[in-house]
Amino acid sequence: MITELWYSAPGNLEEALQLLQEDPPYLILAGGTDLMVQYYDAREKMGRVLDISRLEELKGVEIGQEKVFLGSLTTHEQIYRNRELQKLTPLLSRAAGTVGATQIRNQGTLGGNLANASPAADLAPPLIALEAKVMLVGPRGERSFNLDEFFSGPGETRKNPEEIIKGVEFPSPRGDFRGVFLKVGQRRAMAIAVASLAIGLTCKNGTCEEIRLACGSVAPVPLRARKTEEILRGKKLEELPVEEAAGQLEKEANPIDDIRGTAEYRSRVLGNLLRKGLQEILSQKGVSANG
Amino acid sequence: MRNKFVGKRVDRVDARDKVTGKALYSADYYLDDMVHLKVLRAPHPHARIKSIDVSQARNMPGVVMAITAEDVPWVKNFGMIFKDQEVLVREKTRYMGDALAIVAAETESIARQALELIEVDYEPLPVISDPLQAMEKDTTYIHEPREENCEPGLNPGNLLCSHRLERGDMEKGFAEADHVVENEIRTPHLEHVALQPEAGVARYDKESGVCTMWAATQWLHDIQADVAQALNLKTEQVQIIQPAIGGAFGKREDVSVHIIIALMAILTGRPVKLEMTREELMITQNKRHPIIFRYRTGVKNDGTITAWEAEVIGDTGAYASTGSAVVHQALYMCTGPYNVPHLKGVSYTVYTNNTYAGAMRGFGATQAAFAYETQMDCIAAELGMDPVELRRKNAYELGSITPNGQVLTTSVGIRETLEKAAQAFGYQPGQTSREVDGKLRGVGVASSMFGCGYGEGFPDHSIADLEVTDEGKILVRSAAADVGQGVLTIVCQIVAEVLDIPLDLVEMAPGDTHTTRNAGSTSATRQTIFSGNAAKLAAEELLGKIYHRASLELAKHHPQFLVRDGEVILQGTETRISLGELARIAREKGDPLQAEGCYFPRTDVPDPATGQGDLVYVAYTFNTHIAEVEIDKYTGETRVLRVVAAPDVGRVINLTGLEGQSEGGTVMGLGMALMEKQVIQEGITINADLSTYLVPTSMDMPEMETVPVESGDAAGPYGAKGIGEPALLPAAPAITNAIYNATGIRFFQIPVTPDRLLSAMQARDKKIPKEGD
Amino acid sequence: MTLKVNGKEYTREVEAATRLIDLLRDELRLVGTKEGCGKGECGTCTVIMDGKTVNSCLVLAPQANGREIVTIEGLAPEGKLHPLQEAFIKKGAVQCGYCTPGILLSAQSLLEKNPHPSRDEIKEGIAGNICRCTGYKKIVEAIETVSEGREEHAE
Repeated sequence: MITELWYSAPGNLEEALQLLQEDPPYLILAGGTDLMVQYYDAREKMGRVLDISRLEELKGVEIGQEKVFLGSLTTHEQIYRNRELQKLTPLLSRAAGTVGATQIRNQGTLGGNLANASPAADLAPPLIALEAKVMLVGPRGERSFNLDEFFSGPGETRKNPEEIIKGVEFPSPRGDFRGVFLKVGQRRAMAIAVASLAIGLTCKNGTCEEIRLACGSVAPVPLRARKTEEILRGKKLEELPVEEAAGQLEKEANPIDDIRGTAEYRSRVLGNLLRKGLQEILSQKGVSANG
Repeated sequence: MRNKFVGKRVDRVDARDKVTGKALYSADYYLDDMVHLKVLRAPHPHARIKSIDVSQARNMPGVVMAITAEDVPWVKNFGMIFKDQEVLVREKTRYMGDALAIVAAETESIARQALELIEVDYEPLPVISDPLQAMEKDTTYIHEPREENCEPGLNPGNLLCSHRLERGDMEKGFAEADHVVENEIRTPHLEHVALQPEAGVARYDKESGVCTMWAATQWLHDIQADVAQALNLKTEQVQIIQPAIGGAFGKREDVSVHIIIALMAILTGRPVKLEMTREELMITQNKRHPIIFRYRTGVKNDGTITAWEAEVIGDTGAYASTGSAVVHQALYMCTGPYNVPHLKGVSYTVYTNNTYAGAMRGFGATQAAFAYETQMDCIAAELGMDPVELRRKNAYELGSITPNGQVLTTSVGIRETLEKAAQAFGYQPGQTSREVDGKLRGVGVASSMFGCGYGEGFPDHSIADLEVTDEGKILVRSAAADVGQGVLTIVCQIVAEVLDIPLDLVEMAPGDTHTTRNAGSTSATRQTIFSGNAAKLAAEELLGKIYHRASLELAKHHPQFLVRDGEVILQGTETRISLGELARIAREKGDPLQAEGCYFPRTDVPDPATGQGDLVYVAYTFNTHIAEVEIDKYTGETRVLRVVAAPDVGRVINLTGLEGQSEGGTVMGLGMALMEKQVIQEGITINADLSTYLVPTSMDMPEMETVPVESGDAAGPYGAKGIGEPALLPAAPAITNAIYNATGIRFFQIPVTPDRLLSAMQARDKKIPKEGD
Repeated sequence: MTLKVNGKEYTREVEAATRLIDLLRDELRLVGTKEGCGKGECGTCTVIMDGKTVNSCLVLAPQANGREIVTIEGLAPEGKLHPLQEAFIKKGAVQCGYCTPGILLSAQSLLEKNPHPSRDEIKEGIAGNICRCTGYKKIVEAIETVSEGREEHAE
């Protein structure tokens, strides 16, 4: 009659993957900052909990010449405070730094942020802008998705229940890469994004050679704004069609009204974030009209 | 003579326990063999209850008891002013917080799971969420109609009460005006967010028949009386021991867990504990009243106000709580600290199916301050006059008459607050919007008035008892609730000042209905005045007794003694006697060194037809804030950069405490201006947690400076007045007025969230006629 | 499960649904750790786990197995005050006191990592701890005092 929680904390990945094939299924728990909130007044309803927070296989940050790998259990605080990442991918560091506050950043993990698949997940836009892949590991081995194709709806991903997120991997940004992350909240800390925008821009000879735009809280999933990218791609930095792009971005968004903001506002502010973000990118050191 | 303690920075008497984690709050009490309670709340805001089936819950292993109203037909209604709230709902729910059943179980988890097994069959009724609709004659009654109190044409089941204010000749007033400014201004439901959730522990002693509880309250003796009457107990059968209180702001003025824990301790015969969740208390317990102000103000070209008309409608939700008093206070303060020769107003307090509203810091005066300071700023804009200058021109001085007709004879510091705030801020008249680093900056001002104490002839007193212990300490017994504001420290300072002894020789007994006497509530910004005066009177009497006893023991006359540092010294000699020893001697001789002080000032009941009276409040606290904001044109985000506050407190008792109140009030007002609103749609709260109901964090805090104004002649001890509520009043309107200064957009409703501000700025740029609400 | 709290080892059998905050309060009676919201939004339940601050309402007790916890009761030896505690008293950084234990632990953790934080870094360091009474100014000043005090020592 009384429901009880069943807790399991496997010591290695293999064991964890085995448990995940059992029925009834386990709920995967890492940092707990989302799940413990969701079940805060009825933890017993979590049923069977698989605590993966001790799996060494999911830890670690590797920053190489070619690639950056971030283990699934990397916390927001570790990303935020990592000095190499601050230099290499300030947009990711900044995004991680806007998650909750220190306690939440100490607990919450990269893998959890992606698996929870909130449209407002702060790490998703910068990682999409960095062309990240999400690496999954399951009973039948590993597979990966481009992060912008990983989310299938609010709270839904293409990960199967018996799979675990191993980490994310993205190409190490080259020297002429610049990025920004902008987020609108209703207060200056502990705020869930009303809208956010990550811009990753690679320039060559004063031209926007490649650009990736990814937005949060403006669609059912973190959104890659491909049509807006097209408008900006290949244009001279000094002649970026900012207004046209901002107009397109507003259209590309598909937001809803909720307690934090109206759909109308979200679209409009997204265009403004692009205006503001491109201005910031142009003023960033190393990027100029002369390339 | 210079003060040793009064006016100084003094450490809080309870700070050490609080920084070490030793201070015990309600939920920190654990009794042996305790059962845990959970309450089933309403499934629908307005519904006729057909049946409640608790049989499955009762059968669940670990459940000790499950009850509904049927099991306790003898339990009576409760409420602070009107007894209109049921402990357990019998026939119909009126809001989502109504209690339907109580479960007692061996663990909290079992109690929680048992709630899910209770089946409620109900028939929904129309939900009345809008107070204007509720007032209409044909709207469904939420309460039994009371035709005798009702205004003609209004709804007898939904109108709780109305109040009136009238002085002068409105026709004449408006005839003298060159401009008439008319606005409707609205404030939202707000939540206190006292950090400690409502909780309590109780046990019942069968032999003595006394139920003892540890549960925070702003007013020990009033809650004691309400619990006793609801449960058919004698008052002395209910003992409430005050734990440390984790904030209040009006939240703990109403009954929360008290009746339920007493009832269940009696029924189960075991100690009980009830802890509300944040969500539950946000839905169940009182809110700040949303109030609609309809203003019409006449003003001359030179800025002189000639007439002011006000209609005030307050949504008190499903139950009265203190609503009648809150809403009429909003009316009685509706013109602010400004001379208005001709005025007329009416207020309506209206029931709806929303969460009931009651006391929250400012008690109607906060809503009024937002309204009249918005109105004053509109007038300044209409006249092209500097906002500080307009306020100074109309501000009260000695001899001014309040809206209630009270002639101010002491401590009117409003003009000085304007001057001091402007000076400390470096205010430049006529300052317009500036752009700094791509962001818009603006400066705003707001002033306020607040009547301290209950006023209006309502019985209002505080008693303090002092005793010299054998150890030579002064033991103070006061039931004044220290909700964090620091009244106990102030009481100790005053006692130490009068008796000229070190502060660490003054000790506070814990608040307890059975060992301390009524100090009135910690509300109405009254404890510094009331309990401060009571302590001063008691200390002065005790000093007299010490002199008396010493003169007997040392066979000398009073003028030869000096009482200092815990000793009585015979001046010019080595002879001295410690207070402890003197206390032992006095006790042995049957005349212990004890004293009582009671402060019970007179106020008048205003004439119900006009709201006019001679002495309506014992003192008025004034305040002025000047704020600077910075607005992101891209996102509509507002950041408050700096706030200068100049509260007129009569006399500073504890400078650190005063600054703490002022800074805390400022940041609470920042939340009110920019982010706070409990969204209740059709009776249902959709943001009952702290990730959707936002309050300011440390990163939102502005730079703050407090410059006190002291006239030294107010009714409180040493000429002091209260500051708890007035600290908040001007904060929100100063910020929204600064937003106007930065953007030219006037907001008649708060909060000014980024989406509202950005959309208003865009409408302004496109010249779309759309104002800020 | 076994864990170390304030330097003392405890072994307890707990139900899996128990949270760390429940274990600390209900089992170990370390009631200085407060619950304010249960959802990680207010920070009153902040404790230091393996050197990092966490909201103990978001940690399942079994997750703390083998970990080392510091609560407010362990900030200073019994009968003594930590410099932060003294500064909070002197600066008036305490009003109702309900947020105080959590903020003290956040401040302690901040100063351990960054002994001389800027004013903005202090504000960021305590941003996860809501205080409704003080407006934060005196809390920030108290932490600044301790940070500056350390500088004097170093010199």
